Amino acid sequence: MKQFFNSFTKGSFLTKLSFFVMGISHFFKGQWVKGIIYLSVQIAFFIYMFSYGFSAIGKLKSLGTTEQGWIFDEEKGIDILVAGDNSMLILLYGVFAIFITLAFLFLYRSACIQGYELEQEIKRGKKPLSFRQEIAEYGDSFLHKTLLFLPVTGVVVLTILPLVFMILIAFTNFDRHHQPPGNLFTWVGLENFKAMLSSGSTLGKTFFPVLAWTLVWATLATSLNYILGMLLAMLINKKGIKLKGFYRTIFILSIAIPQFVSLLVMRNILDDDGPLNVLLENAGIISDYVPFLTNATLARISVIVINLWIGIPYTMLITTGILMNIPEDLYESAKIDGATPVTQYFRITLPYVFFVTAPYLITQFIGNINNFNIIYFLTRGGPATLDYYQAGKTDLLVTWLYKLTVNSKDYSYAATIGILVFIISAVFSLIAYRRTSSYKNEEEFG
Amino acid sequence: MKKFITLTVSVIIIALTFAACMGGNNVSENNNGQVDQKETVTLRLWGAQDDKDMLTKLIADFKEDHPEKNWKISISYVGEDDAATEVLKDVSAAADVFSFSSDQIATLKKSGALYRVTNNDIKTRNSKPSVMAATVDGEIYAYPSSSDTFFLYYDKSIFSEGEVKSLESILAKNTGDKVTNFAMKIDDGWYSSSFFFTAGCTLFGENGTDATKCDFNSEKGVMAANYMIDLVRNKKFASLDDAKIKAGFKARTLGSAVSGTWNAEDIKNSLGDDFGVAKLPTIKLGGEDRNMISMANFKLYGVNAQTKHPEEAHMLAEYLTDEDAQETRFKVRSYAPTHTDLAEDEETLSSNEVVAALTAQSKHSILQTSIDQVSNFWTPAEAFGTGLIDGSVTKENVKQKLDAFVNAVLASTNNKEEESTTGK
Repeated sequence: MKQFFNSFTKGSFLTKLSFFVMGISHFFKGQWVKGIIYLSVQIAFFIYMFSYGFSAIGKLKSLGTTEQGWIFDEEKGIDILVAGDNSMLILLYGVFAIFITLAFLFLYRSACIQGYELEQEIKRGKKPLSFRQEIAEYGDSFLHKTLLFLPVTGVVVLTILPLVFMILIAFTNFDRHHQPPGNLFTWVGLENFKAMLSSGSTLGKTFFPVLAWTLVWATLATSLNYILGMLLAMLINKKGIKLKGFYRTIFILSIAIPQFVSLLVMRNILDDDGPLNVLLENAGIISDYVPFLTNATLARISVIVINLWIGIPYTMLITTGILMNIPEDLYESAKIDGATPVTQYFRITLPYVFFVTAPYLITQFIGNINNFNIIYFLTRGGPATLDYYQAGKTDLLVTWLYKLTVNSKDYSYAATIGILVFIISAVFSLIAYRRTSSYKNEEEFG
Repeated sequence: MKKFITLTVSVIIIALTFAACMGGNNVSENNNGQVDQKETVTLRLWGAQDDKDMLTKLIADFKEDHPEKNWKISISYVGEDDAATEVLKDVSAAADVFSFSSDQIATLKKSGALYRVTNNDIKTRNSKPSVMAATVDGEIYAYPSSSDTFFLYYDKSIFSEGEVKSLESILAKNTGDKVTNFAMKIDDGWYSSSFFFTAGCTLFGENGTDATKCDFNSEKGVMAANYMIDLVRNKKFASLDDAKIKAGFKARTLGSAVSGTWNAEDIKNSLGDDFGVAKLPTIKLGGEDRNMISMANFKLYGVNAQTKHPEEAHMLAEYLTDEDAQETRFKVRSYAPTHTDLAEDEETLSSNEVVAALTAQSKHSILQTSIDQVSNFWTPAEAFGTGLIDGSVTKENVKQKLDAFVNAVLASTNNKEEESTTGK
């Protein structure tokens, strides 16, 4: 900012003028192509703002005031549509206009500063770069900018812009009672968060139990996968085990099958009338079917166990590599000092593996909080319960969010849940990551 | 960095400006059209995949019957049950004419996606229930095309025509260990609600339009729920979904089941000569035999509120639902007609046993509600059914469970919302 004001106060008249007419100093100081580009950008921006932009931003405040209406046309015998405001489009275009404005301001600032720098350079007796030379720079010393251009544009346009749009929806009443284009929706401030977080409300009574189950699930799914995967890796790694490669291949085979395929197969196998129940019944072990996926507690256990089957191979794969890298002499000297295998595990193996995989563990935990696939393909969130609003006993926050958008079109609540999940994940991972030794003792590895 | 951003932004802005200009041009071209000879009218139609051949033929007929214009009609396949979801994603991008199930009409109308039908002939030439299904707030918003509900399929080698008249006699028959006498999906509100309706309960008031009313927890509701508890505990009953019902008939391990027309072909193929259909049986409630009441649904054709050619779109929708079209639909696809001349023509209808059973059941049906509060109904209904199956709903706690059920159905997510609506 300081640089920007300096350019204005210290700049010559032409530089000052370029604060109002972009590119004019470039134009008169030898960089005329650049000057024209700047000027045309400014003109394009003003045209856009005066024709769409200002009204788009202005409408953001109310998100529309005129509802769609109809006028009866006697002659034709049908109604004629009088289009009203579409709150969703107003919000979208408003956000878009703000992005354009921000982009323009950024450009404007750099153009002004560049103008001043150009002036300084000419004073120092340097010849300004021609347009062709500048373009050549982008293939040479500015190559990183050229390469980053597409990814950054992509991220801004395809990720950040929609993200802002959806975050804003959490502060509106865009639910099933306010569906455009027939209805308008408007800002409600923090109402949705209040409805979600007050324990007595319909949504709150669902939010907290679902959140609790989400955390229980994420903790169990992550830790069990990790511990069992590591044990499996150690078992296979043990001296004296033959056919190591064969065992590893067998376990990794389950990764080769697309996850949703194995999940849907599992769903069928565990069905009330599925093969497993029929098998057990025919063998005389049970007299009535076991509700693996239709009883709340059993369904929760089934989901976690099936997740083990899917997740263990990954942990095994990762830890195998690390285990093979632990220097053998550590174990030998421990043995000489008389350490038991248990002590060896807790003093050597575990710290070693944990040091390397702590960030992986955090990612897994966050991934499990948002583990849509397992829940959706296995149980669809079921069994349904009368205690929750639009959710079942195995629903995670993310699958409940999905149901709210798809089944009941309560977009505003879904967006609210999305933000809350983000806050929970972000806070957890930041705290957890900063406490890991991989962060604290970065230098000490090995 | 500065230069780079400069360039990025300028490219974006220029691209956007071009995009905006191009978009504008397109629209104006569309509006101009070609007026030289015949007017070209481009319409898009959404219908069910299964109706592909029938719709293609109807469109060809339509073009022939209306040679005054140059028609460009394209069909895309969007099922009637998904129509509202797809249309409401972006009304301006949805088809000009689309078919949908009547339970979506209130949502569609409220979201401003439907064009009002001002042709009053529709009212007189279609059956009353179908007109009601196409009506929101006293105005017609769609063209009725066919009626739909569920009824009873049975295996004639197991049950006689007389035995399927009452559920008690169906369940009483000894059919051996392997055979399930009666099946329906009890954890699906579309089917399970029939017990409550039979007992005299209503969902969302008499007309199904009052979001604050549901008396499933009244004395009548408890009576119905107790009946369901006994039914589910009966070893001769099973709660099966469509796929399992079809499999059951195929394996000949199922005596009778409740389902709709969409399964007719498969079940007929499995049972062959033993294929039987009938209206739903009676059940003994409060000492009297009452015919089970089903939820009825209608397939409707709606015109998109934002269509560029409203007159032509209405013409097409009307053509697709007039008497001839309904007759074709009945003959080719076994859809029960709503046109009064056809619906009352029992002679023709009885030529198709499935449609005959459906028509007989229609007399004992109530219109499926379409207000958007109904999206709160399905999950609790499923939960209540699950409770029946796993035994957590018992005769001792049934009243409590029904109270919870009704609370969930009537739940409002936003307290503020209630205040503002009562304030009006």
